[in-house]
Amino acid sequence: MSSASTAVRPVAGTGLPEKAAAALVNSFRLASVTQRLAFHIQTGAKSDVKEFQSCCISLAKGIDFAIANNEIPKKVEELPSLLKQVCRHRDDVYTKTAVLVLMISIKHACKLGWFSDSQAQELIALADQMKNGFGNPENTIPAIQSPGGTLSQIMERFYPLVKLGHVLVSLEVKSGYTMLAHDFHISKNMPHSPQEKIRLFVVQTENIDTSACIINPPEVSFILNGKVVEKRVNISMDSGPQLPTNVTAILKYGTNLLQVMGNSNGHYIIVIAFTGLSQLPEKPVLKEYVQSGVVEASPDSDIIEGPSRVSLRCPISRSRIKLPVKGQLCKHLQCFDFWNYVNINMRNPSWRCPHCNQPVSYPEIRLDQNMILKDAGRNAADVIIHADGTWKVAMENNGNEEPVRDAIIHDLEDPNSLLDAGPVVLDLTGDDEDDTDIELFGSTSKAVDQKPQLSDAQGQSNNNKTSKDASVDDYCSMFNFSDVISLDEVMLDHLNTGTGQDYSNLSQVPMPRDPTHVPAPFSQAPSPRERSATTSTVFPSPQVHASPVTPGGTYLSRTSSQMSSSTTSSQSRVHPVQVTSQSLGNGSSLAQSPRIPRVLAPQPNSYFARSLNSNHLTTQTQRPSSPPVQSVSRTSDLMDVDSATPDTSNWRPRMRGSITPGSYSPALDYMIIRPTQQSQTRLQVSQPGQTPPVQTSQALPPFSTPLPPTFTRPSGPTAPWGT
Amino acid sequence: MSGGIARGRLTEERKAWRKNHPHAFVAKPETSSDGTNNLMVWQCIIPGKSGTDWEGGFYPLTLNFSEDYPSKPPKCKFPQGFFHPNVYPSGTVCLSILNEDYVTTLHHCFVLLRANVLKEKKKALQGSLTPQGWRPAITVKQILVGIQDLLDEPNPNDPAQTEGYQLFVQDKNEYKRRVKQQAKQYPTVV
Repeated sequence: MSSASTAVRPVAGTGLPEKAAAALVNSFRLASVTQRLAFHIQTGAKSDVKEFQSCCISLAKGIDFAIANNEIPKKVEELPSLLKQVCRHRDDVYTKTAVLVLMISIKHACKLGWFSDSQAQELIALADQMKNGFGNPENTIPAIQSPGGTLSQIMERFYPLVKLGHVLVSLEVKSGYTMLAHDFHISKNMPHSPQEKIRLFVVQTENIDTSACIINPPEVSFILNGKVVEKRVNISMDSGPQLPTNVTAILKYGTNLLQVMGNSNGHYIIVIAFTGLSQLPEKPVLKEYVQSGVVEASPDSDIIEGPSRVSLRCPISRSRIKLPVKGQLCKHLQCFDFWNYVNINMRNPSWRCPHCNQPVSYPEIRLDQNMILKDAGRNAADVIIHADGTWKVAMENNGNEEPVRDAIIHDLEDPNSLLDAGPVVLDLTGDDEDDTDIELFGSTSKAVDQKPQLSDAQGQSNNNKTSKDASVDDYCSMFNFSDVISLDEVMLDHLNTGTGQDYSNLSQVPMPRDPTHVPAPFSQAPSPRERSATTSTVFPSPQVHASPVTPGGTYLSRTSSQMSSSTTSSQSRVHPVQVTSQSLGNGSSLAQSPRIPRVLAPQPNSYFARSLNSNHLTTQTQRPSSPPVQSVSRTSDLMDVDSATPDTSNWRPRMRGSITPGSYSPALDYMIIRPTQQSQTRLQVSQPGQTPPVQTSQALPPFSTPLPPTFTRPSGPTAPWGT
Repeated sequence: MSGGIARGRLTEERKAWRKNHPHAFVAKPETSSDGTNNLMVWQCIIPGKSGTDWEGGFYPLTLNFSEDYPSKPPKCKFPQGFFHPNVYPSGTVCLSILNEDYVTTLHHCFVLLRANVLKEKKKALQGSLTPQGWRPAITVKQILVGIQDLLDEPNPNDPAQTEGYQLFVQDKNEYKRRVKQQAKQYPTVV
């Protein structure tokens, strides 16, 4: 009723504002109840006990109402003598209870100065005496002052976003059986903002290092105003660490009663207070993680020598970590995300490392600067970290560092694919693999996970790559390298051997599945696409290379590894060469040399790209130094056309243009001269050895020719990551 | 507050599962009548391990996730009355890694150990293992594989039903017979 009082509305009959009316009614109630009580006391034992009890409760309510509204009723001076007599009525437990309720209200009235000091003291003593009849106060130590350091420490550790306001109740309970009733009153005058809620804290003080201290004592129940406090009573106990319970709904202005009962297993503090919630800082200030350096002796240590695989995904959300943190005592490399961690602990404050279960309270969260998330592309799921601190990206779900896959082979087989084919270079910045619907790409993704037969995996990867690449890369660049490759003996071999079958299927451009068919296109007069392929074979000729190479050097890279495998069938080879020569006209002479260097890519960039390719999808290559290499090698990305590359749409036309003899760079010449094999060997070396044995094995006659300096760069698997 | 996290995580779990999951296992979110997926309830199938009495059975399991996931583990239930020493009569699975009380008793660690570990080795390991219950890092795949392991490796220290436990302890032959019989109750759904 009090809450509505602010509205000024006439009350029927009285003509007074509602608030005034309510106060008036209350004063009538107080007066009549007081009279009635006096009557009961006079009549003594003959009086109606039940009515006596209800009078006590009614008087208590009247007093509470007056307290809540900061009023002092008239004739208050008559109360003390009456109350003293009322307190003598302790016939049975129900009467005693009613009297206690009354006395609790009186106690608060005393504190608010309703009575003279001497009377107040007497009444408070009386109230306490009554209360002692109910509980065993000897193991409770009421602390009037606000709770001290312990609670603030706990707040900092386990409730970092909870702000403590005005404290209503602060008690301590020792271990042992507890039966306590504590009353407190809430006045409208109490300082608090509307957003603040009243919460109940129960905290064990013996060990506040871990969240175990905010577990409700298992056998202790909390009751407020006769209503159970959710999760803190034996019938619905939450056995884990708890948030402070919002009890606002079961409290009222005026007098409230807290009852605590049960067997306490330790020393607890109980606090009821106004609380607010603060927001997490946008840029939290976190200490940095420092490796303890102490090698854990225990056998269950997570630490292992050698390379470790660490996920860049948060173990809580399984999505990419935004702010990598771990506990100050955590020994593992694995991090988790700060925001996720705080978030789940705002809901369920267990404050344990999601990875190792070690206690990690809020102040123990450490920022791990070593998790280099920016350098690994967005797509990287895992990284392999070596003992020396170097690291590289591992493909998701692959147990091994890198799956064996050749993107290149596929391209060689299919002329179309060649055109399309782009560099195998992986770009982590591409779309997230996860986002792609697995079912669409099902085979691809599975291949990655399972690292199965070469043919399948390779084929898929190749296809994907190629398509992607094509879109991404400049046509010119593609043209040069890819074409060259296509002519290569290796390619032919693959086709013949049948390794290429699968690839053909996979390739986006329809190709003949049967390997035997494959060679045919080459032999025939080249359609524009084919031509381009053939021209590439010609590639050795300086002219051909010249224009295309420069822009897109990266492209070459893709196939080198695959190409390397094998003995070439002389015939098949010849064909392509011839074709190329015809089409090109100029460069033909070069083309004839069978093994002319696909690898030779005139420009350093191309080498780089190759090396990347050799690593295959699994490794993330850093971006090649040359800007043009943007293509994404990832399988997932395959479908996507990279919008970034402006040339994509134009590429076919360009092919032809590129062929034009006019632009010839001297640099290319030497390349032509060089044996392709060398480059291949190089590649092999550079490759982690993951290239399928078949491909690599035959490929390479030893070459002594000097490699361009650039060549070396890309080769090592580490190189790409290293930067 | 972390309700978003629960669903986000389940979405990622689903993606990961679709990319790669152990053979013959099934796990997918429940489809409600209006065709939408309820990410909070997953219907799964756990195949009995080959070479065990459980082989040939494909056991339906329901995972119930709460808004507190992954802070708290999902509740895993077989059909009511499922015969296994560590499955409650309600069907709820009792498994260490699903135990949200983080003070887990040592004997739970038994269950953590895979079948291929010899018993002696287990005993040796038992002392060294840190008892651990649920951790947010545990994936759906790990849960399901863990439960598959539990099928043929019941933990007699933590019985959840009388029948299964007593037969397991007192009458191994009858126990085996019951297990095989149950396997036939859950044939492949092809």
